[in-house]
Amino acid sequence: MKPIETLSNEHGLIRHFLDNLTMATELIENGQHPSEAFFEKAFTFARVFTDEFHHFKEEYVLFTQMAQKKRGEVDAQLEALRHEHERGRNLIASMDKALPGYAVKDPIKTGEMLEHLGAYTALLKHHIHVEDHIFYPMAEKTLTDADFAAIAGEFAKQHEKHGGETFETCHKMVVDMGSILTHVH
Amino acid sequence: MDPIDTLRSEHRLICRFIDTLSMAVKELEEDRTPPPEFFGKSVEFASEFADTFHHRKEELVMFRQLAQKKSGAIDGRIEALRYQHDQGRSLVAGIRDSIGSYSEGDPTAIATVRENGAAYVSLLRHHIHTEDEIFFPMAREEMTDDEFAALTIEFDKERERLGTDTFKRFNKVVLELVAMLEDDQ
Repeated sequence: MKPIETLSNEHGLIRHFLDNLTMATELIENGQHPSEAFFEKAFTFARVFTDEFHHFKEEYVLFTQMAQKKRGEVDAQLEALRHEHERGRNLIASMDKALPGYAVKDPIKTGEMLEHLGAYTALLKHHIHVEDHIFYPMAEKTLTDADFAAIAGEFAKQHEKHGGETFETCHKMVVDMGSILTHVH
Repeated sequence: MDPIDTLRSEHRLICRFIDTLSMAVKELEEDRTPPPEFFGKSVEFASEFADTFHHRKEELVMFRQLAQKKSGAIDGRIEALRYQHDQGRSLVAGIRDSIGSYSEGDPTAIATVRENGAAYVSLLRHHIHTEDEIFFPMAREEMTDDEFAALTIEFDKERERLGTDTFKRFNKVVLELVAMLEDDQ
């Protein structure tokens, strides 16, 4: 599979994950209480798939290649995308911190969870939109077949490192999250 | 009008405002930027109507009355509602402080408006749900007719203080906000 296609497919799964988070947000807004298990799965997905698996390939492979190729021309844009990855990590850490309070229905911690959830989903939806509509098309125009072959090689190494089944395992995690939500009362 | 009905009818207007703000957040997620005036007016609505007009009546009049009535039994819950009002104010302040740079296209300011907007929407929806479904029915059960009559007088004083046309004025603001987003599309 071509590297940009791989990243776009991963975006598809992250969008599915974000849809689950949006559903959970709406349930909490309406006084319901998705379980702690749902959020534990969500944080694992955000760390393992979104961050370590997907963002890593962007930051350390694609962005690096693009930065060299464009010789400083896109450094600010790349820095903004990197900053958004970092911001996402911080929001997940803040939600993780609020989780024990949320689990015992502490209203202040529940409010904090909601705020961070809203901010995280808005951040990631925008981030993915910008990459899909601006950054990936730019990479496709800028990089040569040889560049893409080198990127594909690096991606294969990453997949190897993570155990080859990461996408499937994380896809199942997202399906499980959806299923947990259907049983919320 | 009965004080609880007054507060509920104000909630409906705030919900319409939140729905409009949520549409603007969605625009931002898709990398479109609603006009800065939209957020200027949103801050005006959130500060003057939601906060000064509506929350003030809850915090300084009804919460206080109910807390006395329940002799400490619901102090924790009331504190959480007050805390959520504070959080809302701080999110709105973040938007207010970013509007200048937002209008110049500064990505950090746009990100702040997007994240704070999303967080505010979720926080307020949950807050209103809690008041509508738990807090107002509790007030209805606990308070006597005389106490409601006293509340009505206090609410009338607030209405006098801020202008008897406040609701009508801000209903118009919400319609203007909706029109701004429609014009922008």
